[in-house]
Amino acid sequence: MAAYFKDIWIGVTTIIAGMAVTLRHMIFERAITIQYPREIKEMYPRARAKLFNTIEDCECCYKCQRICPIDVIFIKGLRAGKDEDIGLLPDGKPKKMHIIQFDIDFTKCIYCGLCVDVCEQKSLHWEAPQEASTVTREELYIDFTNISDEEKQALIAKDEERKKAKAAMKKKPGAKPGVKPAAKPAVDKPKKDEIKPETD
Amino acid sequence: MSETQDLNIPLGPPQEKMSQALASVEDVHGERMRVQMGPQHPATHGVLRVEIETDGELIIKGTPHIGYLHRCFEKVAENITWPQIVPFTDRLDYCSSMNNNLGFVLACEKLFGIEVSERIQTIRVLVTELNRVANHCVAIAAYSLDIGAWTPFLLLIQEREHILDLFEEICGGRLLLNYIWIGGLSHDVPDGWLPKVHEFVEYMKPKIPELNQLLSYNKIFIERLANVAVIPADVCYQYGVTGPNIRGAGVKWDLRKNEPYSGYETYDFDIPIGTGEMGQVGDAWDRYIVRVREVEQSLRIIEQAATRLEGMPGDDVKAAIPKTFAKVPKGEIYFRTEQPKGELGFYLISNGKAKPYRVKCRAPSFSNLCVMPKVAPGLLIADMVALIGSIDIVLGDVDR
Amino acid sequence: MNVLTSFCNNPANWFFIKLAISLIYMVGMITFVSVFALFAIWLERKISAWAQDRLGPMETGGFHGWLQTVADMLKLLLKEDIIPDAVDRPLFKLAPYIVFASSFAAFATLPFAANLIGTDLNIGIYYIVAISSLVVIAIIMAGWASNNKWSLFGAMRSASQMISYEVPVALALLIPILMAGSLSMQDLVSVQAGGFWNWTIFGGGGFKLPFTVVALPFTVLAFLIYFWASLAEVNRCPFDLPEGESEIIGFHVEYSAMRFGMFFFAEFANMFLVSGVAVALFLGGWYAPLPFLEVSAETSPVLHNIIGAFWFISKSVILVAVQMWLRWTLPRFRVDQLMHVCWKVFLPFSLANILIVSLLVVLFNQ
Repeated sequence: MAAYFKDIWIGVTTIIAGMAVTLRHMIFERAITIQYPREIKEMYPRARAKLFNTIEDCECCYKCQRICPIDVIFIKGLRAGKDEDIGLLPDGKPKKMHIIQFDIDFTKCIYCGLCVDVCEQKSLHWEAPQEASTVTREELYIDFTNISDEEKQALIAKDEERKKAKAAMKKKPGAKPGVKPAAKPAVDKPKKDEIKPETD
Repeated sequence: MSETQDLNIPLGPPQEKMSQALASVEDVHGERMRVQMGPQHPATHGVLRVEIETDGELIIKGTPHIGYLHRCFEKVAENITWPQIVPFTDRLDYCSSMNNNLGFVLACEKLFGIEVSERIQTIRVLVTELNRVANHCVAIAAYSLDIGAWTPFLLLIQEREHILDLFEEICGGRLLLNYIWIGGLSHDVPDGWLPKVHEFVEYMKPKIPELNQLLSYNKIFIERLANVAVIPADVCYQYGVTGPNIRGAGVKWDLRKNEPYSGYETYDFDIPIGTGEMGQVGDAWDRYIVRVREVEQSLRIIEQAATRLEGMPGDDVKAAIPKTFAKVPKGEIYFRTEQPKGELGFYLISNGKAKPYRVKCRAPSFSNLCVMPKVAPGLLIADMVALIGSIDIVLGDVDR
Repeated sequence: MNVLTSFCNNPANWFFIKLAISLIYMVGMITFVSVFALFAIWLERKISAWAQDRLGPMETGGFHGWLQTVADMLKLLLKEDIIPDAVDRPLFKLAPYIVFASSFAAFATLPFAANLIGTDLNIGIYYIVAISSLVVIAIIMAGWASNNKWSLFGAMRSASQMISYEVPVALALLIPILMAGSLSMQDLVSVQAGGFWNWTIFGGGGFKLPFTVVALPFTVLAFLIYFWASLAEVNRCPFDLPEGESEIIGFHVEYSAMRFGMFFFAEFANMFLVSGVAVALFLGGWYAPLPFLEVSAETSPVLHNIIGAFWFISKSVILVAVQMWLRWTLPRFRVDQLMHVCWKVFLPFSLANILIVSLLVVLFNQ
């Protein structure tokens, strides 16, 4: 019988104690809600919100493509000619590659940050836009190159020409032994299976 | 393991009563009802399907069916290089990414023979304990929701938000962190971060008594959980139940104490265990309160680690990261760590190449969930919800 | 004008006049209940938000999102009314209306003010207790017709719960009835006139001082038992097992669009109903807490009624708010514990309470 009344007493007191907690929150605690479009919470500098590539600084070293665990970075670079001057990298070295493709498929990106870490020129970096949502999936397949299609075609054509010339030169024995043939531009994936961007 | 001695823990009075009721079910009632609880059910914490046979609300058989969130972690891991696996471990138990990272990274480091500096170890302890607090916040919050109390849910999610902010500042991620890397960390601790950690600890400490007042010692809550879904210690041993669940059964088993790693032996903290305060040892309330008390202990560790870090000279957190993983030592290893949900073990086989030959993950939630068919008979449907919540599963961890 | 007067003076036409007045009152009541439900849903959201350090609806309608529930109701009205193939169609369609009708029917004898009452039956409180039990039938209809095991669980829980809790509710309501010696709602209210110290909860209820002090604990107990048991009657937390959103999702799991909205409306109408009954029987009905806050019927009959309705509604809203406060604090009971609380706690206490209060009434009623 004593246990019965004790149970009821504990029940009543703990319910009142609980209600006191909620009442305290109702009256004294301020709401923590951020009214989003009007108040904006700044993200931290390291926030992994959206990848961005400053194409002018990009070395086209394919490191990011290689480290990406899910292969969402698609790079195509063409080696520039010896005589061509296409600007300098942030560390002062001359740029050696024309980048004709630098795409990231954000529908698949897992935001692990491995690619940003390997980027030596710090061209691939995180940005923290407040509005990163899109309406269609195609908009999440982002092309970071800054050259037009005509320029691209021209570069490809030029590269083909140069390759032919190289091949022709190579066939001639003793033409220029010191110069190695230009590294085969790693057009698509280095080793992995072909992954085509989904554009449905 | 002296605790294993008494393997025949008798069933408590409620379960005995229930089993008697079960015995009489056959001749009193004709038909049983088979109900599918899930995969879309609010109390199954994800896409778990529990097939339950009931007589009225009394459960006669409960079988979990898993695999709705299977993502081939182990097979995927065989096809990517060692450092690339780390972000995938985030996604095993997405409530405690840091701890998963640490488990995998420690296994790799032991396999490759990499030593990391004391400072890196301290940072690792600090962030994993922060994540433990976050994980227990989610566990307790979701549990309170299962039992029908809404306010603790949102209040605890609010505390967890502070931890996520700390994580965002240190590594940029909030949920999937990829912070602890093989041989180091992805980023050093930013300036002004450690005072924020101290601030958080001071902020969090009074929240636990408040939680106890609001929820833990509420009579209705106790009535719902005490003597419900008792998992005694011997059942825990048989089914490989670990983490707060086995500690709730009164067994002092915590890898941070029993097999210390990352310098846990140098920290001063206790292992809370279930004592049967409100009912039997190993009931749902014991498992619940162990989590609450672990939060307190984790806060102690966080405080110690943050204080130590303040006194340490800075070093390069990436110094020990190997330049390349193209050639790694051959060998195999099993390494286990104390993840908030239990023992997280990684069995790795390396054949010296850039990609692992085999990665086996012993996920705590999976083993903990396995105990359900053993405990379920004799529960009511409402108790089933209490059982699933009290063993704290994350389906990403169960299915991998 | 003369036509109207003569029409009114003819006793043969009084039936039609009464009918017209009843219709007007009914439409007014439906409007009131709907507006109250909209307000109560908004209030519930706000209370939950405040308890959880949130803001709640803030956008729709400008000031603190006061139009939010209107927008939600519009959304529910415009949504597709999905009726699954396997349901028992007539019952499935009928159930929401019966739920709403039965909770609305009880408003007929709820005394909003001295003259604002549908009909002052001489068994008014009995009528309310009886008619609000109809909800059980509708909920079982909904649960059974849905052809879903989870809704069946909800319906069965609801039936057992509501029928069980009828008993402590009725027994707790007997205390004011004993003290007032009447079943008519207006009689029950009018004995509590003249300040809050005359309210039944404080031992008043038509009795004078020595009785008041002696009976005070028992009348408070009766009120508490009624309030708690009525939470179970209206399926509110901590007795919200029929809904039990984390366990069985509820008896209305298959309902969508406005049919679901009807259940929602009925729940809030019911909340007001039980609070209104508590106010009428225990908390002085439409009397103000202090006598000078009222306008007497002699001064202005219209104002008398308006002020009365104001006090009645505000007291009820406070009780509704307390129900919400409880709902956002407490966890939910289990089925067997629910029955335990009903039969082993509320019932013995209310029986003992009746015994003691009857003795006191006999002793002091010389």
